[in-house]
Amino acid sequence: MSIVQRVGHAGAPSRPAGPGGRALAALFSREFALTIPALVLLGFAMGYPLATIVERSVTDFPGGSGAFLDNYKWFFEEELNRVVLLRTFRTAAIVTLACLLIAYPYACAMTVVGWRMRLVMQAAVVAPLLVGTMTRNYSWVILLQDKGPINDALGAVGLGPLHMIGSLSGVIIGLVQISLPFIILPLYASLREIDGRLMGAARSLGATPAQAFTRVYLPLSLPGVVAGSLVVFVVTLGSFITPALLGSPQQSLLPQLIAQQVNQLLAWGRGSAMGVILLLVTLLLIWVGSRASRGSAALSGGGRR
Amino acid sequence: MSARKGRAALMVFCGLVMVLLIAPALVAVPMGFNGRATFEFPPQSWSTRWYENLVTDVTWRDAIVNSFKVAAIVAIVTTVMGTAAAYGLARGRFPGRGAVMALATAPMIIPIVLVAIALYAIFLEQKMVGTLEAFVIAHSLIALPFVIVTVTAGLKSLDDGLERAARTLGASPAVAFFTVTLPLLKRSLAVAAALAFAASFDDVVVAIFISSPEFQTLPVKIYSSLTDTVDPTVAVASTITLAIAALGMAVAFVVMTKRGVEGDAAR
Repeated sequence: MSIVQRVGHAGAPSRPAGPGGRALAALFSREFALTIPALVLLGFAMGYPLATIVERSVTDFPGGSGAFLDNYKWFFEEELNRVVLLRTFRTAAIVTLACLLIAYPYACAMTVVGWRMRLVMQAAVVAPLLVGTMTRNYSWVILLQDKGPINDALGAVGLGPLHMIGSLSGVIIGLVQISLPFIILPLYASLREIDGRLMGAARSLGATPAQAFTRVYLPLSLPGVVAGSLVVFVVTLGSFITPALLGSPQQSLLPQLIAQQVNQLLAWGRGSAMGVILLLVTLLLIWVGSRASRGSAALSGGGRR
Repeated sequence: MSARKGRAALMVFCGLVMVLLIAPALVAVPMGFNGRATFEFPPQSWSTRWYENLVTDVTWRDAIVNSFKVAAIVAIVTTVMGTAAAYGLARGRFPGRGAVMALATAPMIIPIVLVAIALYAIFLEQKMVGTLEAFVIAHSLIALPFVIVTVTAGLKSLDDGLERAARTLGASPAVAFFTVTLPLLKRSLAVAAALAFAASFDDVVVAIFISSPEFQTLPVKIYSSLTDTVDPTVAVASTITLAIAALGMAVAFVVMTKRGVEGDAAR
């Protein structure tokens, strides 16, 4: 409050007119001043720690000394790391695909039902978010255990028991259910914007329902598909809790390996290098994803001609 | 296949998805009344001693108190800080505005494990591991983007002519902000504070790294009791979060149904 008032009084009088002077004055404007507390937090809690991690990845070596990029070289030369990196990508891809297959029809349905039903469907999506991460992970530990209710049910119909907890399939089941809200919400937001009359127009021009869907609805929904999938993929790539609780150390994913380097081996340089690699991959994916969704938006814009 | 049959199939599918979304969390409820310290489901005998344990066991009680303390401070700090920043970004025309916005939402994008080890490195250096201050700083970073995004959206939907009108009528920028804009932003601020509270309360990954046996939050306590022991108190803690979430949903549902009815009537 005091900042707003003080800066408000100081900033109110005349501003210099020249273009250079204006830019300089704008830099010290009260609007910029309002962002300073947030910038200080970001600098201290994000900028400085991340810089430390980058620095350690090129200066901290297990043997005590090493060359500039040794930790990165180690990461790509060690076979276990390559296996884990590949497994992490494969897991993220499977989880994303499964989420998409479940979320798409659900989000579609949300756009056509009445408002009361939509509210119920929306509540079902938001409820797991309110319940909290640990509660949801805990319930999957119970459900997936070897003598758990899912195995009881599978055994009753002659399919089980399956070994799910402590395996990658358990991790995938848990991650799919936990990630569903993250894809349904953006997908619904994007499907809601599609003009339903376009499908009717396609039908009246002789398209079959299937054609109207694949040629009109599906292309128009692609930006939402890309955005939602990207969220799930990126979140899965960095997930730590679910693999730690539902998976096994023999089938660990990259985040677990990072934690292990730092916590158990105290190999800060290697752990940091892995963290930097994970960050770069994530940023690359987001960049590609945002370009792809812009591309498909242009495509749907072209379809209007 | 007729359109009606297709629609029925779709609704059955959606019903199953709703069960998938909601049902798993409910297993915590019977588990909390387990008579023995096992993961057996459903429990073979019943007792309420884990409920007693949650309030009498010092480590559980401390973890709950710490969680509420951290989340409350974080909600206040980030709502003030984030609202100021969002307002500056929405109204200002300074160079580098886009960069500041990107920076402010970056904590959402960075893989959480990386955030965790980076903060852990710094707090180790500063001997701050396991302190309230460390948790407040770390969770403020996680919560800040939620506040900035929410308040920015609120400001966008606001008619900024009202604030200009107040200015032309002689109000100073500060008076115009506090008497016109802020009251209009009330709902966004409440949502922002709630999201910030939830982001802090729910964080496990960063908390695992920066906690110590002396200072833990509830998710850390749940995590460690899931990995180290078989303690049905976990289920009780989960049941209570479930109950709070259900209560919140019910209130929101009533409010929205009412508004929905009014909206229909208005049409």
